[in-house]
Order: sequence, then C-alpha cells, then structure tokens
Amino acid sequence: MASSESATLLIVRPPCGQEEIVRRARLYAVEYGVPGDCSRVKKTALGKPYFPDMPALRLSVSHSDGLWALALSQSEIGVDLQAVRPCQREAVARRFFHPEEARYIASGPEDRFFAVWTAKESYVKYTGEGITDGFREFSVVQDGRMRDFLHGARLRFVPTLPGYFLCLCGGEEALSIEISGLPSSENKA
Amino acid sequence: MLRVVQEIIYEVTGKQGLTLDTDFVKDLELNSLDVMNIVCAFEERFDVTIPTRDVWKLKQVRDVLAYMSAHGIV
Repeated sequence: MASSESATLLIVRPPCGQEEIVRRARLYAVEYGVPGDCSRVKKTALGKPYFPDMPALRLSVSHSDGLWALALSQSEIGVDLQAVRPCQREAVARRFFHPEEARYIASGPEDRFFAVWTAKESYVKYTGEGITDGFREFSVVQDGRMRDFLHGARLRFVPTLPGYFLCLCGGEEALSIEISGLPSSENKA
Repeated sequence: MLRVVQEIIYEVTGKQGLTLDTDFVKDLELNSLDVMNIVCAFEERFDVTIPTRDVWKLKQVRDVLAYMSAHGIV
C-alpha cells in the first residue's frame, strides 16, 4: 500500500457482504495504525455508512451491474460506481440535475450523463447528505466542462473496467489512491 | 395497482416477481440511478411529481402503494 498517512484505498470487485467491508477495513487499520474497532458498520439517518467504534476511518460503498466499490480513507470520502447502460437520461437529467448539467448532457455523447451522475453521487456521499431536494441545486459542470473541485472537495474519475464510470470525492488526500481488485490495477493512481 | 407498479419496475429494470414485501435495495439490488429512473417513469405514467425527500421513504413495494393511495395517485 501507499506510504501516505492519508491514502485512500479503493477496492473494486464482484459484490460481497459486510464481512468483506470489515475484513478490508481491518487490513487498512493495521497498515495505517488506525485506532479502534471496525467490526460494526452502521448508517446515519441519511444512509451514510460509518464505523461507530473506529471514527478515524471513513468508508463509502457503491454497486452497479455486478461490480462493487469500497473506498476506505482517514479523511471524508464518497465513491460512486455506475455501469453505462440504457436509462432515461434526459428525463433524469431534467428532473434531478442542475440546468447547467442538463445542458452539458444534452449537448454531448451519452457518457456525459454517467460522468455527471457519478460525480454528483460521489459528492453527496462525501458530504453525507445523500440525494435530497438539494441534489439539483449544485452543479458539477462549469463553463461547459466537468469541475475538478466542488465546494473545496476534489472530484476524481478513476478508470476501472470498460463500460463503467467511477468517481471519487474527497479532500486533497483523496488524490493518493491505492486500487485493488481489478485485473490490471494493482497500482497507485 | 400492484400490477401497475410491477409493470413500471419491469420496464425500467427488467426485474420481475415483485410482491408487497419486496425491498428495492435488499431484494432487487437496485442502486440510486435505478431508483431515479423508476421515479421518472412513475411521474411520467401518472403525471405527478414525487418530492425527492419522499423517494427514500419508499423502501418496499407496499410503501409505494401506500404512498400512491395517500396521494390520490391512480
């Protein structure tokens, strides 16, 4: 793993249960000397998962079409993974996205929808607020291009497998990422 | 009404065999984008707007039917 004290560990693999989250968290905690007990995972009222007995370790989880992503970090983190597949892109964008995002999506290829979606989802997972009425009040698009930062949080797309988008949202520490689980991704990002 | 809900969810997700107790996340493994697509389909079918804050309260099929009944959505 990375030597950075604040490295984010990103695991992408076939779906599994909470036992795997705990197992991975234990390995991370040992590697980075994070105090506490990560055997319990709970969720806030807004659905954000956390380790009640290991508050220094944060996590975010996402799943889509046969893949599962887990991000572990010692700073606040949000991850969203989404397979590119048929969906009501225009209806969803019109209904749930900021107008600038909807215009950006309408003026380009379909991949733009999934880039915007995963960026927005990762951000609201990072903040812990989840998808609320405020989801359309912020824009991950500015001046016709995807933002790299939103309200001080970094938005970073991480290559995974063809046909999937994955966005990670966090502080500057989120730039130091170890990726595990993909066929050719045992490397730093 | 159950049949209508089943039809919409099948159209959007391809998932079948729903019952009143079916949980959208735990049983159907739907993610947030799936839910958003279903909401859009419902809104288009019934010409209504479902506040985003209400969406996450609808965890099972029975919750959807109760919501529709309570809000006069037929």
